[in-house]
Amino acid sequence: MVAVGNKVRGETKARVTAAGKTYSQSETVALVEKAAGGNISAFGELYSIYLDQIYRYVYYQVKDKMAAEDITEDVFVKAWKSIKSCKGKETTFLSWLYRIAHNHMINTLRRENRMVSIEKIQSVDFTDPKEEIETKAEYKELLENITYLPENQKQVVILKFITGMDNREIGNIMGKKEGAIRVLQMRALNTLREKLGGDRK
Amino acid sequence: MTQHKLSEALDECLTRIRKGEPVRNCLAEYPHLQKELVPLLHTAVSIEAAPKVSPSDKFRRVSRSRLLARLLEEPARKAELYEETTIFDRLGVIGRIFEIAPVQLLKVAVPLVLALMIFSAGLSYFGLNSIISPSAEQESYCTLATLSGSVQWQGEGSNDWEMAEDGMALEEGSWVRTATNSQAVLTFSNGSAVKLDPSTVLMVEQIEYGSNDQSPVIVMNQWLGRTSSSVEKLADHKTHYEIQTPSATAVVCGTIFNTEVDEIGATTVQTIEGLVSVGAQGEEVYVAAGKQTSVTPGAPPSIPVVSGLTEGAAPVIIEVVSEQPPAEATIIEPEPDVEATEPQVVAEQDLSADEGAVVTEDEAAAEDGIALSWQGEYNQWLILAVLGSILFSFGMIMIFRRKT
Repeated sequence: MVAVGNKVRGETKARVTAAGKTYSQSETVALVEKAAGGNISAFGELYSIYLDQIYRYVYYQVKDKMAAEDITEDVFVKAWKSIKSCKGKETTFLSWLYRIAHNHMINTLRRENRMVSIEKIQSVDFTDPKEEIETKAEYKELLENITYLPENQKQVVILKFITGMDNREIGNIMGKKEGAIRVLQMRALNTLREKLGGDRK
Repeated sequence: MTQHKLSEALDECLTRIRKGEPVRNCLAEYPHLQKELVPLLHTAVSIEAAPKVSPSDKFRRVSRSRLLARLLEEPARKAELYEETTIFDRLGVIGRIFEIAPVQLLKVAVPLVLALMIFSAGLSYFGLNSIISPSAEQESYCTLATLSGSVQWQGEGSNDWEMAEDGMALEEGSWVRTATNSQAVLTFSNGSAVKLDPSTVLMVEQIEYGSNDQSPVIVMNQWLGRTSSSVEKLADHKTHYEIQTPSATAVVCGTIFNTEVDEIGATTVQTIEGLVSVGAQGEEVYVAAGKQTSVTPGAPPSIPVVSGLTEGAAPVIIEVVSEQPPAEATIIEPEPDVEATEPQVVAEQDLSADEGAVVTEDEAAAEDGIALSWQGEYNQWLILAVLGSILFSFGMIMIFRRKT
């Protein structure tokens, strides 16, 4: 899982796969250019490429399958409405998409005053059913604790450890310096460790 | 020890672990921080190792169709489609740069700008999309998504209508019908989509996505109602997209259009982007963007006229009203990479961009493959370019005079 413009992880990872097709960074940039020019098909391709990442990012924050699906779809509609603003900034498309996702999610949750319930995790579609059985209990506990992290820390944890981004990309999305991301990351892990340790006691 | 040092050590360890280094190797470099680092690294690794959620297969199948349908209905975006940077915008920017630059630069810059304009026109003509689009083998499928109300379908050879399931795959020979308050969208794996408005009956006659050396072929029979099509092509393939109605056949490449068939079998085809060929009774007209043609049963297509569609209207509308069998298909092989432009099959025919033209099948076949660059949208584009050049030159002269 790699973002466009990820220099840290190099060319071998600067490719994304969607529906069996693999896209190089230059191909995704070209798709963004075409989409910014009004090409719906190119935007559809981008949707296929980034659907999983955006869905995952949203899901881990709302923890409701239906809500995550609705928000994910809305994020792409919003992105399409303002895709022209991506012209000249094609390499940061994914960061831009995450920012839209974050803002839209926050607004939606505020509007609906959604109460997060851990019971909703039952509806998760795990990528591996075997793994699901083995790790569900532990995973639920971890996920629940991530939910109660302060907003900034939660965002760093999800972007870093669940969507696999690096500090530079996270900094772009959150509008913070890499040093600040490192500190938030440490604080989040510290809080989670204390929480998990406390729960076990 | 400061938090800053610990956060840096933690991040360094996480980066190295992510690259595959054992945890102990990282810890060995920070012996004085091991006590703090170990539990933090353990927590981080646990999160990364947790199973990842993914959208359900059904959502994945349906959502793209639904999204494309929503995008086609976005009035704001529709308006923006026509607000691309014009040549005047570019000239304006260049003019401002020249205003603050030494006058001598004009001698170099003017020919350069003209060369760029010619180059960009060339790129448009030969299809920039063909250069930058990814090439990929297409998976063959047609997915039905219910947008609202109840939608029914009928498999090939079946006489019973069944409730359609959102996200279901349709095969060749399948029928779809929408109720009076229902809408559905069919999405094909090459990115093309057709939206069915209420009270529409449509049959998927042919879907063929080939391997690398084959062109996708999509053929549908629209018996009743109104559809909106958005046709996309792969960069290295020409897509044959065709809708047959009881009175006409609409053949499209790389465009957006509406088709409407009324209760007496009359067909109306409206084009929002690109160009659509409409054939009936051995005659054919080309419907450019912003135009529409009507076909009554047994008659040739009418001369295209301004459609009067407002911004945000559905792209390609075909409307049909008849129980008669569809007319014989007139298959045209559009040249590849002519997105939102006229197909080269109309080359050198006396086709007016404003009025459309009526040509016979024989004439069309005889002229097949000959390029026509001075028609329709290109014509408008080139006129704009010429006007822009004149205005630009005039502006430069004025600036030069003021400075001297």
